Amino acid sequence: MSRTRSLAFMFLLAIVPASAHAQQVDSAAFSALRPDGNNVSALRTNVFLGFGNQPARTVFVTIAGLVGLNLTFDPGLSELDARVTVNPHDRSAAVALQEIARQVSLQVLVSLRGNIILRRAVPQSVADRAPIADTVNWDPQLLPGMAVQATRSERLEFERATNASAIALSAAVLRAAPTFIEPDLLKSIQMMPGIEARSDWSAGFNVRGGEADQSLILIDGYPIYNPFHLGGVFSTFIDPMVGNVELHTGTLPSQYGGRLSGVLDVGSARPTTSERHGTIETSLVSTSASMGRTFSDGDGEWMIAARRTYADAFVDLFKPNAFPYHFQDVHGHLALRGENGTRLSVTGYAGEDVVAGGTGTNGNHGLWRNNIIGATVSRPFTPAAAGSVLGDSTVGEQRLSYTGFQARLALPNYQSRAFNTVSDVRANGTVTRYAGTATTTVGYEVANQALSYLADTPLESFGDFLPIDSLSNAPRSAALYGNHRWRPATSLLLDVGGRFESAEGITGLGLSPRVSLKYFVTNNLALTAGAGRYTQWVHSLGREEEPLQPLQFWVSSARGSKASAVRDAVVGLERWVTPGRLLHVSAFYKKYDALLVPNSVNDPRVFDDEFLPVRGTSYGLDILLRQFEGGPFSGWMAYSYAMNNRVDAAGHQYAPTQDRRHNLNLVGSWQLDSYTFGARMNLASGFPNTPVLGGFARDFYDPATGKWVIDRNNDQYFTGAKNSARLPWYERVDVSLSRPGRIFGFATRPYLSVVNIFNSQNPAGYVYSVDSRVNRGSFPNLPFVPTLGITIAY
Amino acid sequence: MRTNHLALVALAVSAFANACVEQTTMLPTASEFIVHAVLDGNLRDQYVIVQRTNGIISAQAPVTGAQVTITAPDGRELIADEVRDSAAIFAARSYQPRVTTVYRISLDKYGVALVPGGTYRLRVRIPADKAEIMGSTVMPAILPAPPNSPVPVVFTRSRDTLSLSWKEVAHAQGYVVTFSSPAETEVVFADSSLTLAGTARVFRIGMNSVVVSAVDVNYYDYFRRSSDVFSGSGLINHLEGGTGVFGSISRLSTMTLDVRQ
Repeated sequence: MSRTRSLAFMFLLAIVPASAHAQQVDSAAFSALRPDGNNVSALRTNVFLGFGNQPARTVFVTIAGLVGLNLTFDPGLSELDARVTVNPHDRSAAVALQEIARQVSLQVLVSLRGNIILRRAVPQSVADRAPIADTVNWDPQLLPGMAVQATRSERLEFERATNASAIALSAAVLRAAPTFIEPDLLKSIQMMPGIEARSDWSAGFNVRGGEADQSLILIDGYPIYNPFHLGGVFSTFIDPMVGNVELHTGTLPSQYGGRLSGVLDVGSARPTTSERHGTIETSLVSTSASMGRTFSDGDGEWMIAARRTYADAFVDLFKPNAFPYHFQDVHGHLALRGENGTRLSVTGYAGEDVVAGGTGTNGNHGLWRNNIIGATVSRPFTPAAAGSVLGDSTVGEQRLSYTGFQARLALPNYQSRAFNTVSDVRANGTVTRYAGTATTTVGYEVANQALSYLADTPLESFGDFLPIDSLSNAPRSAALYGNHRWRPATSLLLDVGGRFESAEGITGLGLSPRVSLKYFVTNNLALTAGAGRYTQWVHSLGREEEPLQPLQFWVSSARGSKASAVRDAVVGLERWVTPGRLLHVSAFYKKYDALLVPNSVNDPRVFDDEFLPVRGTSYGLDILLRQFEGGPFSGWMAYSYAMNNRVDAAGHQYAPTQDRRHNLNLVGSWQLDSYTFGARMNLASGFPNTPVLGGFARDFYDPATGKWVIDRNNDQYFTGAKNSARLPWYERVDVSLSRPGRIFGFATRPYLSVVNIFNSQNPAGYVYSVDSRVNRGSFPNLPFVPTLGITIAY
Repeated sequence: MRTNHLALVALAVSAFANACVEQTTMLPTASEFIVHAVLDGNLRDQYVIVQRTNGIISAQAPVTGAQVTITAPDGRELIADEVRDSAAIFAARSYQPRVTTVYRISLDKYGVALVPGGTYRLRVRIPADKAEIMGSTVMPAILPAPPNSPVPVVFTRSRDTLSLSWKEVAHAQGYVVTFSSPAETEVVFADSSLTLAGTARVFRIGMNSVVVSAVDVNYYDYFRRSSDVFSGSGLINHLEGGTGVFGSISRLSTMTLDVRQ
């Protein structure tokens, strides 16, 4: 695609929202709110909240704000002044609204678009005489003296959290972007500022110039080491199980440790009704099914989803074993609420990728799997009287989890094999005290990580893909952390904390302070700043310069080695341009010490040469302009500017492969009548690469015969300085179209999505031949790919 | 020859190799001298191959008029003779040699032998280009085994496993095991032992010569890794002023397998 075409598309993205806004219409049909949220996704969003003796008005406004919906009510309703108490725990927004409404005898009505109206509940005796239909026509304009208030969850975050480099995303927001084959969380995350992936085939993403192994990825707070399928094309997150997503690209909160650059915490979706419900999602390569319900009057809930690809079975119909690959996974979540607000939740995930699996014609096979099981118990403690040490309330939480990763690749005919196993058992707990505007958290974390790696082969070229080596380590670690957030003045919010870490055999850990603040210049403008130190002692053997990174192979730093560390500083601003439009600007600086990058020429006979130490810096600017849901258009514009450098042990400076100078993502979703049109445009400068200047034939000396052998298939390259050239700009436009409907009474949403609609040639790397001339072939990223699928809800 | 690595490469990238969507022809911008020399304890004539290239294989050509010397551990300089017949140093079933000019050092001429554990220094001067390539090697500290082949051992691929082990040799960075059949030579780098199931691809039906050699760090590094298909990195070069290898080897053992299905 030409640059002109890209710019034209950007222009279109910019003007369409304005025109679409003029077409905004809403149905006047309001229905009584049901526990399932009346098919309004925002009302099915889970919210964690607790109120003690608060006016109902405040509680309603807060809940509506949390899920980003408009709330309309008559300010003269005396019921709104009644005080209510809500135990802190998770529930859907719909259930929460109903819970409060019942306490104060109000009725909640909801439009098809999710606009909420509060009205006085009809007395039962009257209702008996004159039953009201479940669906009534309600025109809010006819109500006299109405007040309209709306507070988005992002607005509440803006007011209550420093969030110097954090973005909270709902699954609905992430699904608004066009999809490749099927909705995928990690692909959507890569459209956020500060995030990029080395190629469309990479299992991993880079945060603000950091290496791909510097991001901590969590499911309900439990770590997962390789959340990817099919070489990074898909993630392990099954779409209907994705709830809220929290992304940190800097000033990482103190409860997170062990990674240098980013945190992605993905919460499991929660059921919203006592009736069993779920979805079936079918795409070109896989089908997933989800199911869930609440029980015991909402005190318990479960949800489970499973997925499997069927390309192998489909191809088998025509040619057996022609495509012997599949992946499958299952993700479940269970929560129980007991006496005193105690809550137990359990999350489990199991997924595996299988290649050949013994059915291949040559015995080569591969298998890699992730397993997670984690449990969390939490309990709120409410003081009997004011002035208690418990503050307004205190919540204790204890977590226990096991995470496993196993990879096994075997090429028996080549006497080659590779194994990687990770076992991560950890326990952590927190006590959080809420008192006035202050929140204090103290916590601990202990972990036993066992990581082993073995690659054994007589073939030297195997080392181009995986280091030929054997590594095993089991560092036990412990951390204490604390955090105190308070508002010393109306316009100032402070968050100060730290994490003290120790890991067996690893030096350079100790105290890592974290601090962030927000200064409110006006009600709609705040300046943010933050700084912190972060450490890491587990690393991936994946080499950034390889555009194909199907897996990250994890190992630990050797005993006695220094932990990698980074210090970051962030300044930024947040500004509400309109009530539905938020601008984030964040500038960052990171300084790395004792970074470990894989040694591409490690020698299996040499101990501890698998990594090379480097140091370096990253700095840049992230801009995010979000247009929230609520109108016919929603989406975001994300732009990142970054400068990265690394310095090796010899003092040579170079740009790391993930050094992308500019990265612009425009993502939009338009509601036009009953159709939803989605588009995404990505324009990004090229990654560095090492130019090949030419090559030569490396003849081989045969010790058996004492003669040289001409080898015409063993050309070697002369290269320029490391990463001294750049790949061309990456240009890609994706579009999608979906339309809700009903088939046999089931709600459906078929979709058509086209990736790279202009079929832009975006090289992920180059391969060379140097026989009679130097030929450079580009190794492509995703080409033009139309896909379709359907989601059926029941 | 040494097709083993190609199979692996193909396995990993074959699905994508055809997907290279854009081909660009570029001008070669390299200007390099290539030196290939391996001191072999089993031979009385040692050879040094000197080539130049602009970065494309077809332009890789022998360098004539170079001054090639090897300094022995005792400081004695062994001066190479320029020989315009390279047939003697290339395998018979190899492709047509690219070079016709090589540099030969006859140990008989100087009445010396390669010293196990000794350090040898190579210097190649190319007056026409005012270039100088230098390198050094330490011979594996063991006398080479005789090259004659013992009685063949019957080896049945479906049933047998080959297990080899040997004593470590001082100054040997690694060991090379070559499996030579009339059609193919397969090379395996090993530590001080090697175990291969009969199903391994290195075994070809018929007579297979299996030779274990100790190699110095230069040989080991130069041949154990190749340029990476994407990044171009990976080749380990210990020469100064040029690219290539000045290594040394010493044969440890030889056996012959009569490989049957």
